[in-house]
Amino acid sequence: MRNVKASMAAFLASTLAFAVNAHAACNVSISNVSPIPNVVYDPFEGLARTVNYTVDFTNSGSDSCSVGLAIASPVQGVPRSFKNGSNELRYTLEWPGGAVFSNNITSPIGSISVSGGKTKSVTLRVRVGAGLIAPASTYADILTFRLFRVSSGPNVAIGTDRTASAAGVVEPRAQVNIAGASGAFGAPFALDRLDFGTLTLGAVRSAIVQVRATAPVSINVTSANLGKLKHVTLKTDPGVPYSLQIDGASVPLGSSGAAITRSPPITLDGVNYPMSVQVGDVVGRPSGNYQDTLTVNVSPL
Amino acid sequence: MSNIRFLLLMAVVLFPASRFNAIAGDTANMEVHSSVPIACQAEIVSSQLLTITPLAINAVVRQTCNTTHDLSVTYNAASVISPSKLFITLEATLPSFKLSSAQVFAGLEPTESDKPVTIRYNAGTTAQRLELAQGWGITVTPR
Repeated sequence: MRNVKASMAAFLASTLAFAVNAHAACNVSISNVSPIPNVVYDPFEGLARTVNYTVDFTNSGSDSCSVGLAIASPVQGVPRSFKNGSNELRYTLEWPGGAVFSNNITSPIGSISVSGGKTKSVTLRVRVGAGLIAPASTYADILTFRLFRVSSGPNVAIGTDRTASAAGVVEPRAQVNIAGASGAFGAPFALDRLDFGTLTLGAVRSAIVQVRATAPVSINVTSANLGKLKHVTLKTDPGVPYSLQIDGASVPLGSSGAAITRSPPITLDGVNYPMSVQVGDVVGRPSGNYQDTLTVNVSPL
Repeated sequence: MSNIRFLLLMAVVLFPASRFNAIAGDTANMEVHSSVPIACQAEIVSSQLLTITPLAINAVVRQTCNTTHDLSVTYNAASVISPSKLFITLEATLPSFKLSSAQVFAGLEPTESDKPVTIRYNAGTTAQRLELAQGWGITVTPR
């Protein structure tokens, strides 16, 4: 009987000791990765775009310990990018404070202390930098999260890897600028007035329609006076007809306007389409000033 | 209250902010300007002396003027001793006003046209009427 009691006491003591040791160990895992919002990116804003998401670390042990995090894309060791077929949109992942995760599942950054029995959240950031461009579409990436115990020795992976999907959306965008000469978009100068001086039959003036877009575009041109230079004060005067060409295409300026479609290169500089305006019959027109307003609208298709 | 929260949540889910982003397209305006300078001229196309006593002349004048203008029928004041008896019409219209050496048809619309002019005068000497018949002219003045 005494032996049985001694055996039971020893069993209880060893069980208790095991339990105490187990809770004393650092036992942190990634308990949750919140859904990562899409990064909606407009290349022509000239601004970086970011979204935040959270990763929760839960320490089921009783001791505090510090952990770091590594995040990798399917192809590691290269700059991180959202992909859609052969097109891509580069981005970075940032730890609070701005440190950038390298695209390597064995290179953790950060150090966060998680108390025993507690859960701690860290807010991470997805950033698409300014000055990038890609065709309008949705781009995606799969992220693998791995936790490391941070100590004075080598970092040791702990817990189970988690995965999450992330995406960037390049919206259909198109911009137009009318310039006096060819150049990068917005350069060398914008032109808001085309002056023929004294009207003469067949006179031609030229300008440049600069377009940049993330998709093929429809270029729609409307004329306030339906393709005529109208006398500024003599409202009943029929005016002087003129014709318009953009990128070699005749653009009728009748009642409904006209549109041409083009596929500009997907670049921030865009493309320069030559535009020419040619004056028609001027015979018998009253003296004075004549004018019209052309409105060039570009829309992504 | 919970219903309102639910509706707000559904609104955010169904209509995220990106759907209300700026217009995808873009517009640029350009004014096209030009001008037509003033150009006016007038000439006597024909002049027929019907009678010298009294003086009766039927003429045609050609106006080419692209702005509002005045047309003056001019003469030597010395040859018209009785201005009140000098009657001039342009396209059957009396002049707007009379000067000592001209009768003026003012505020004429831009035109390219030939118009009849009549001159009637029953005063002075034959020599004076002859001088008037041979010496009248026209001038055009843009406004």
